Amino acid sequence: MDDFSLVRKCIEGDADAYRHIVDRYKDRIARVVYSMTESRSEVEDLTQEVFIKAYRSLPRFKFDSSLHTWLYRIAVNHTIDHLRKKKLAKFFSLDGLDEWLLGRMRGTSYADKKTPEDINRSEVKELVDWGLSKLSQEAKTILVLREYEGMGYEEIADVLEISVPAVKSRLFRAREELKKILMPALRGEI
Amino acid sequence: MKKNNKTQCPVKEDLIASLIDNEGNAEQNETMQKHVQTCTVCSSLVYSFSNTSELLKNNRPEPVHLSPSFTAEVMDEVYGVEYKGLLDDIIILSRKVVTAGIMLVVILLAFMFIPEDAAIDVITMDEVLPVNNDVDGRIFEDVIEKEEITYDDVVSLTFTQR
Repeated sequence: MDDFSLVRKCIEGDADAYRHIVDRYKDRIARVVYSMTESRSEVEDLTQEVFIKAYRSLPRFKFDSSLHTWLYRIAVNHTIDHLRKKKLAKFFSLDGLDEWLLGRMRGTSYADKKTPEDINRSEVKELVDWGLSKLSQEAKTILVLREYEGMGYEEIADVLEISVPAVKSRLFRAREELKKILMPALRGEI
Repeated sequence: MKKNNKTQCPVKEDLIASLIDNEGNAEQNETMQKHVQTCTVCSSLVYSFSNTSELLKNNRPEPVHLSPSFTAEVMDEVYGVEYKGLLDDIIILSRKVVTAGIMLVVILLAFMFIPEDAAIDVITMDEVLPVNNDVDGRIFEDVIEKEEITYDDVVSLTFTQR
């Protein structure tokens, strides 16, 4: 059954239809929440809250946008609210820096590696995670939607409720920000 | 487009984003590609942004494993009952039907076993007398003799008076 039919059935009170929606989108929503919070312990609760919030907002669902971008919008806004409230973004940035410094103290330096092949996958992953944790929330969100979720400009614009030119501009700035963070690390300047 | 060796290039940043993500129209991207071949500023940006983009794509987070009870917990929260699917709906409906049936049987049995002369409502004489005296000044002595009369007595009195 397509998304819109499921939404209509939910609004009519069909509980089974909402179960289908949750099953269809829970993994994708959980991944976005995790990418933004970097906290596996909070993913389950936050994802649940997203679906509860979505259910309560269903009567206001407009059938002019897709269900998945609508769910992503709720997930992104809910996660940003959560991070703001707990000021987790700041905490995680500091944690990331601590981990990075610990890595340096243990002698892990990406600049020492001769070729990209020398840098093992887990180290690169660690570097990328650290780089993302240092980004502003706005930059991080748009990169997660584009690079991790593979969303097109139109979809990102729909999720973030901004124009397509604004998406392009934000993406440019986010990539520039990430480049500035990662380049010194790769050169061993940090 | 002329070769640009300045640190800044007048080309708009959104054109670079479109080229990297292959999102702009084909003609626009082709023009941009030609420009990148001649502009060191833009070529450097496209190169580093493309690398960053690949780096992120290749290091997507591992899938998050939600608990097996995730959906049931959401449904429980949303619908206020422990929800396990269509079967659960049928069980809840069956319970309601059985409860309604039992209540109906109890009500029917109650009507069957209540004695007909049971005093349902007892009224004192002081409450009844003013009413009866108002009707043509007649007093029903057989009733007044009683210490207590039933609701049925009052109904029969009223009926007789009419």
